Amino acid sequence: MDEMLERANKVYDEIQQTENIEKGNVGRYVAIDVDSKRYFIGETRDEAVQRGKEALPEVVFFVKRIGGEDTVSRNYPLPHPSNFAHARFL
Amino acid sequence: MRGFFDPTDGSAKVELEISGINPSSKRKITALFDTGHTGTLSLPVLDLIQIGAPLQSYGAVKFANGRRGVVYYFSVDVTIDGKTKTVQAGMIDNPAEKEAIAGLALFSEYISFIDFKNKTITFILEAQLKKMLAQNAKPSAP
Repeated sequence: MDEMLERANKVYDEIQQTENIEKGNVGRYVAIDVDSKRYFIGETRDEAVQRGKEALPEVVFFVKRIGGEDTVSRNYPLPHPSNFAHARFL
Repeated sequence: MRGFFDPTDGSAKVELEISGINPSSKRKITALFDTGHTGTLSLPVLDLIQIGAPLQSYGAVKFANGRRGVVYYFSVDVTIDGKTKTVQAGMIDNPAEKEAIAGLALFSEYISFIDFKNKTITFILEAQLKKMLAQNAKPSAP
């Protein structure tokens, strides 16, 4: 798992060094085919992957927020109560 | 679209419809509305299997405890107010986790009002809001 991410991040760094994709694109998303090193930029993760899939439909892309990282505020791999029995739908 | 505060834990929730490759796999879910989640949607692995969502991408995320990890993203159709859009939904890989998480990007087209007093959340499109405000601003007939 770590090796996979390490390789993907290395490819991102290579692309950044040669193409400087962070200039003017911070906050956008890049979908990278780690094998061919082709990349596709979009305003959102969905858009970047959609552009990538149009060109390379079989590829599972590495996607990164340019110049930053995505956050998930809950530690969701940990179990937590999910009892909706008394939920009030409005 | 409206959300609610779950009285069991006080958290904000929204109801969504999701489906995968086969449109007949459509099902309703309740998701935590998480303003600290920068993505669109995170779904429990069992939900993704049930709807038959295809794997499309992966990436690194940072969790609240500072831990970083890899998340796999699947193509999922999400229906909100009768309008369907395809999003990259992250997989929650712990099978014990049953709750979906709706992030900020899922509601990027909406303006939201959170009524803490009455414990409701309203999502409204900008065009709808402008229309409502214009109607309210019309001078009443003498």
